[in-house]
Amino acid sequence: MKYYSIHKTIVFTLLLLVLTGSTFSCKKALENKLTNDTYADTFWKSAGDVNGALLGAYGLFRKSMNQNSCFFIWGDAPVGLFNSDEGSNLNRVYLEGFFGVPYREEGAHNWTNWYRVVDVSNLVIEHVTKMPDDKFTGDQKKLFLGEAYFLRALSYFYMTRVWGDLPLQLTATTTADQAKYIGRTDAATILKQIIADAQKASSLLSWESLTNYARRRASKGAALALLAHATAWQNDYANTVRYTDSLISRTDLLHLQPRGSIRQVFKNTDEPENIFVISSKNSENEASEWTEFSFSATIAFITVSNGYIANMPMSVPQYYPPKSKIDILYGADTTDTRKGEFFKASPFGDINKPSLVKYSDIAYQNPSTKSDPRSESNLIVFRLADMILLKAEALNALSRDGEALTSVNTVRARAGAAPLASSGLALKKNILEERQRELIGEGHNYFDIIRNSFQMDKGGPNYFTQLTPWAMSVERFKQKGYLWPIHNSILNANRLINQNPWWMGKY
Amino acid sequence: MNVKRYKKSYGVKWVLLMALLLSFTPALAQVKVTGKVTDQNGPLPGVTVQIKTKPGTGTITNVDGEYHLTASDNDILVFRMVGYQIKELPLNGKTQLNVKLVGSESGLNEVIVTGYKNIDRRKNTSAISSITSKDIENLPAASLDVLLQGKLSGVNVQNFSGQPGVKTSLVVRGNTKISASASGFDGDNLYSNPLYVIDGVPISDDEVRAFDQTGTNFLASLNPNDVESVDILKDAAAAALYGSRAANGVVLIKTKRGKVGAPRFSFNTYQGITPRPSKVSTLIGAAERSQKLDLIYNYGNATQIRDNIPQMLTDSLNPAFNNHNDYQGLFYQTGSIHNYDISASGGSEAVNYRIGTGLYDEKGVVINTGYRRYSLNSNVGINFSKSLELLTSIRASTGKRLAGKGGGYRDVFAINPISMPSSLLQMSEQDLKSVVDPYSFQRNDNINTDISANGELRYSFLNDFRFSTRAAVNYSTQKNDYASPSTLNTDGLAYARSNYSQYTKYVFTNNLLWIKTIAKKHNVNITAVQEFESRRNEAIYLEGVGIPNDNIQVVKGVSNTNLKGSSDLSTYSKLSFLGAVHYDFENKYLLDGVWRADASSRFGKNNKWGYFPSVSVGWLASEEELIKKISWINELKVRGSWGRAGDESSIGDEDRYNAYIAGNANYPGSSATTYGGGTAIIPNYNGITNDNISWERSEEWNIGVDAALFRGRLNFSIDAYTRNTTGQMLRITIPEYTGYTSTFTNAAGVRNSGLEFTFNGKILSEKSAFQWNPSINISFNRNKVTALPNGNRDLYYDRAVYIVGKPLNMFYGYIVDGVINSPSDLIVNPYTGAVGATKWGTLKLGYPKWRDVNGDYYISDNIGQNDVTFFGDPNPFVTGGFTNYFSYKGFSVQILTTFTFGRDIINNTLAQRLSNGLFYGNPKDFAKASITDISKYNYWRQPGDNATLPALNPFMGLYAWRSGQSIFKEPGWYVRIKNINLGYRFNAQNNKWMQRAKITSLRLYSTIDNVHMFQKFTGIDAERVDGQGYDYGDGYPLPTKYTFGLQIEF
Repeated sequence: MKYYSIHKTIVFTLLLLVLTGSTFSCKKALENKLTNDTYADTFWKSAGDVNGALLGAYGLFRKSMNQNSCFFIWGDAPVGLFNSDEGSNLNRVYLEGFFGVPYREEGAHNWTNWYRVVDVSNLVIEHVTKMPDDKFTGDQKKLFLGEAYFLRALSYFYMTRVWGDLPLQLTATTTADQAKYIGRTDAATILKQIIADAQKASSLLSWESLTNYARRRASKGAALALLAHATAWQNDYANTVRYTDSLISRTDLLHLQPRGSIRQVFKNTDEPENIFVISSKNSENEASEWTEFSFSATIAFITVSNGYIANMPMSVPQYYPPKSKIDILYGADTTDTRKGEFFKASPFGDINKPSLVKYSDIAYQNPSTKSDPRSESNLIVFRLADMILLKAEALNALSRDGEALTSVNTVRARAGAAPLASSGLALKKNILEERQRELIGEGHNYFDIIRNSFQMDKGGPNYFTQLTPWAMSVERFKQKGYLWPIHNSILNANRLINQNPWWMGKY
Repeated sequence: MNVKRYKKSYGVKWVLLMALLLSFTPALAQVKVTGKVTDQNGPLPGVTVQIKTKPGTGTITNVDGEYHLTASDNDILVFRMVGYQIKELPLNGKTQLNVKLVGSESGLNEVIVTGYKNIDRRKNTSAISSITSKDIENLPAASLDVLLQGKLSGVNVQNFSGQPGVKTSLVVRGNTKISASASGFDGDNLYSNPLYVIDGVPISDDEVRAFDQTGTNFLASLNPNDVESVDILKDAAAAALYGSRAANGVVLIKTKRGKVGAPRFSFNTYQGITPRPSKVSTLIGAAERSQKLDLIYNYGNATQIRDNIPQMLTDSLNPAFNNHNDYQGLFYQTGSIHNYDISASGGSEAVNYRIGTGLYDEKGVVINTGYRRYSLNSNVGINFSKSLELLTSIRASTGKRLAGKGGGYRDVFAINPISMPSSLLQMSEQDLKSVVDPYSFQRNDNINTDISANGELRYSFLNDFRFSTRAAVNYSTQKNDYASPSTLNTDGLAYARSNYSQYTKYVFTNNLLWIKTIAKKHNVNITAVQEFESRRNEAIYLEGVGIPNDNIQVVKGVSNTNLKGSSDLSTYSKLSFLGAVHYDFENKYLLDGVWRADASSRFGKNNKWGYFPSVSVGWLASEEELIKKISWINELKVRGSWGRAGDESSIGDEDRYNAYIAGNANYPGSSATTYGGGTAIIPNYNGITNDNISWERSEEWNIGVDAALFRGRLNFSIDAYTRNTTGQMLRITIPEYTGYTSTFTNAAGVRNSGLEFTFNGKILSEKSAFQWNPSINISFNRNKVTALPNGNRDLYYDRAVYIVGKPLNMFYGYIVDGVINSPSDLIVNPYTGAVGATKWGTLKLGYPKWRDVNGDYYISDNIGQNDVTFFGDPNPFVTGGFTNYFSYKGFSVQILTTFTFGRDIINNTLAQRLSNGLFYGNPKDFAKASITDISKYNYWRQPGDNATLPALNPFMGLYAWRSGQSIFKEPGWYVRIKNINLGYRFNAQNNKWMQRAKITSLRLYSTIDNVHMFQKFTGIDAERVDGQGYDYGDGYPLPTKYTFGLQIEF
């Protein structure tokens, strides 16, 4: 009798123990920690975390630029210095000014990548501000914040030049509930925001950042260069002169490459002419390979022939500068060394279809057979020659043609070309042509034309007719036909966002 | 007081497990009874003989079928053996009792053993389909799921691949799956999966798939010949026992256990061959050339014929057209199957055991494919005392799968049979080698190893209670090793990869059971369970480019920059409470209730717990006096149920976290992890998390009737159900300026409703030497989408479309109403008189007669002009199987026929082959692409024709032959004679040599698997289509297999 009751007690005690014991340990296990990845709640604890996130933002910026080589498709393809033999998917953009660019819409029409740079920048700004100062050493906190403001401003600057009015997102999104539908803010306000951010960045960043990071992260110089471009875009040329001067005057840090080695700015990041470049070194496992489709390949693979660099995918580059156009641009017989430095004809290919070789720094995955080429040239966001020419443009706009000539002739002298001597609108056109000669293939030239078309009293969109194979009607320009169309997926997902007026129904 | 109660209820009938029934109690010695148990073939050894009122007592018949037992003279003896009907005979003072047992067609146990409670089959109130080992033994397949085809109502198995060791589809009561995103849309994985429970351990497809390295079916780790029974819990009332993972049904698998009796040894083997399968129809040699030229001359105008006839065709000396250039032959081989099983089983009152080992080795019909498995299954039960018992089971297996070229289920061919070039003439020696036979130079090993063990300790106390605690461990590893030498790779660098993953799962269950009969009328059975489950998936990935020497087939000697590796970890845990109540009044009025609560680590922080109730009722009408009088009704039961179950397969282990990705700085052409040499960390922009995510839930109603009539000569079961599944996880878009483009939410819904019929009959009486037992099951199911995100906006994934009110996975494309045979078939704008056009030009005679869906006289898929729409339904309306079993003396024949009706499929093979040559309107493409014998099709050749297929015009250059068109829709029904089994059992009684050799049973058998296919579909096999009903000629054939086997028992 007693045996049974003891037995019973033991059994129930055990049962109770097992039930309660396992229940507590289970409750804990239900909140299992994510060990595979770091996540919002566990991140943002140290300077290293912030640095990692900033490098992530630079990585996203590099992705945005390279997606369908959009910086080139926006900045160079419409200008028509490059031709293509591959048909209307590629040539309508420079023959007709039609920006449909099939298969390249993801990069050229979709702004999602750029907003990711914005989102990471927002995250850094929000978290670094809250993090205690003792997590950082020296100026680190200021510098990190400066980089974030710079990247946010730079992304908005690329976007507003391409699409005009933009949804303005200045806070980070961390849960689905925070995602609210908003419409577009007008381009002028966006530009004000860009300048405000870039000024903040300029005050937070230092000149030392320039050389500390081998010119591939933001510095005071980069912020000033952005301000120079942003003010020029506003046609606020007085400030453009101010900002460009502050860069040009730092001869201790910045000076032009010697004649004959201009191409070094693409090969090495830390050349004194560079202000801010995006690197992709093979030694750091960041170089890009051929992607099978030319539409998704990086710029080297669509501009460099395998007649010049072994085992590149194309014998005639997808986009090549025809010899005839180069001859017109630089003059058929000239002392301008850039013609030889920037363009190479394939020894066995068509001499009339040379390669642009700015992006021809190639490493081979298998060096013995020279197979699997990897492109590692820098993408140049800002360099000194660009600033000097921008200053010339600004001075000309301010009717200071003499100083403008000095500026533009500095760049020409470096290339061994004869000095210019024009004035007024003719000089303006000459400066724009000089920008083409110097900056061809670097994603500037189309925006140069737009920037100079805003003032209707100074020719308006006439420069299109003069500098591209197609004409931009005043009608089209007024309907913002100089902008690019917005991707359909964006319009479909959000009713508050409308297509740019000129592209409605056309694309 | 305890002693008193103990004595008083000593004789109370216990309804516990079989094993418990076998445990020892001292008998009250009165009479010695002897006897002999036989069946139609002679003495039956191993029959359990028990006294009905004292289930603890018992003995087993010996080799001669004899038994000795001590009993009271008024006892009733119960004779049981698996595969035979139970027989109860009163002693009535006799001391000799000879019995003849009759084989039971179902061979089903009376008890369905779930992981938590045992269900008395007679008193079951929910929809459960079951089969036993008899129906699945010795059939040539690597895994159990394939063997369930056509055998159970409500269970739809479609084999979309015949590749040995890969998973196909098993769907219970209709598909509910909508992929969470377009990127997750996979034609081979479009089905909802049930939860599998093997010997009490739950395994769901999604947790295995998450870290899959080998593509091998996880069910292939289980030797089908070790399986004793499979019970499928179809309605929510039964499935609610398994809570948040049971919404798509539960498949309970129980492996064989030992029975009390003398040791038995069994050896079983079958050997088989698989002849080369049928090939995709291809014209070869001169026939191909003349057919192509004929088409070119027929359609080309004078200029085209003058300027544009490919040299490849005009050059009559081209060796491609003088030879056998159907390369498909290079990739097929004659396959083979070898299977060996050895087992030992037996038991006493104290211990019972069964240990089985097996080897299954299948060589596939495509070169370098096959599957080989070594398996061990050991089940041991120990009764320490009358009240304490231990059940253990250990399962171990390792399987190696050869995967052909090495991709998915289809991608096994080095040259795709439907995109086959006409000639390999211009290929370099190197390329040819790598195309035709890369396997001799490559290493591609896929090895799965599984170990699963569980032990359950049961303690019975206070007469009516049983407490049990169970621990189960499941450990499984998957390894994929691949090496390809430098000579085969375009960059000239040797490559090797080694991926490993392991999966560890623990399940702890505490279970308290109370069984009580009150006043001989009220039967109560209450179960309370607490369970904790925890799982850990780990993986290691390693790859290297530039292995220094081709003889090295592992990742070794690679420079740092070319070496890539990472590891992975995810965990999962779940806490559950379960209460289940059964009550019945006089065994007549039945009531069951289940309530389960699950907390899963997967759910978002606002939704940690899920609750899953169910209620079911039954009326065992045959227990009513009125019906008992009707002699031809042996059993009649009406039942109804409602329940709710869940599914968490669409949520990943880590989806509730807003993860940041460390090492992501990639851009097109580069998988960089760093920027400027420093590691980049970014938020995971693939989707932002949502704190409200929760399980998907299904609510199901079921009514059913079970009946046994004419003394068991006719049994049937009819069920009708409707199941509403809601809250499927889907990606929805969020504005992209947040950086994210999507989040996921419980948004979609699907309803399945249907009818199921099962009939089993015995045509001839038990006395007849010749027996014919047919059985048929038919399931009807209709599914439709009931809810979609973004205000029920239509959802387009790849080639599938989801529309509220329509079935899942409808086809999406142009509707073609035949051919433009005459000018009156042309679309004409009545206002302008203009003939309609397409995106690619004006419509002409011979073009497909596209339907202008939006009425703009323009055929296009551009936004605003879109004529692409939905059509066709790939979901079968009717599925089932028809089994005929014949026996005469020692001979037996079983024929299984499976069928599927009421669905559409797309002949994508034809579409793809025609578009290969005709897509761009360039006869050069056409010359290069291999072609089928088109003379069997009625295609448009010239004005005046009344064709059913458009012109095969090599100059047309119109997307006439793109695959997304209704023109390729074909009827997808089929009737397949799935397998025929012939067997002969030697009777030990008549064969003295067997007795001398101590052989108790000897059986010879032969099987033909995939015997014949009846279909209207013009391709090879209407079953071999993917989840969306697309037929792919490059799929893995479902070959015919011939086996011959031998089974001996000692």
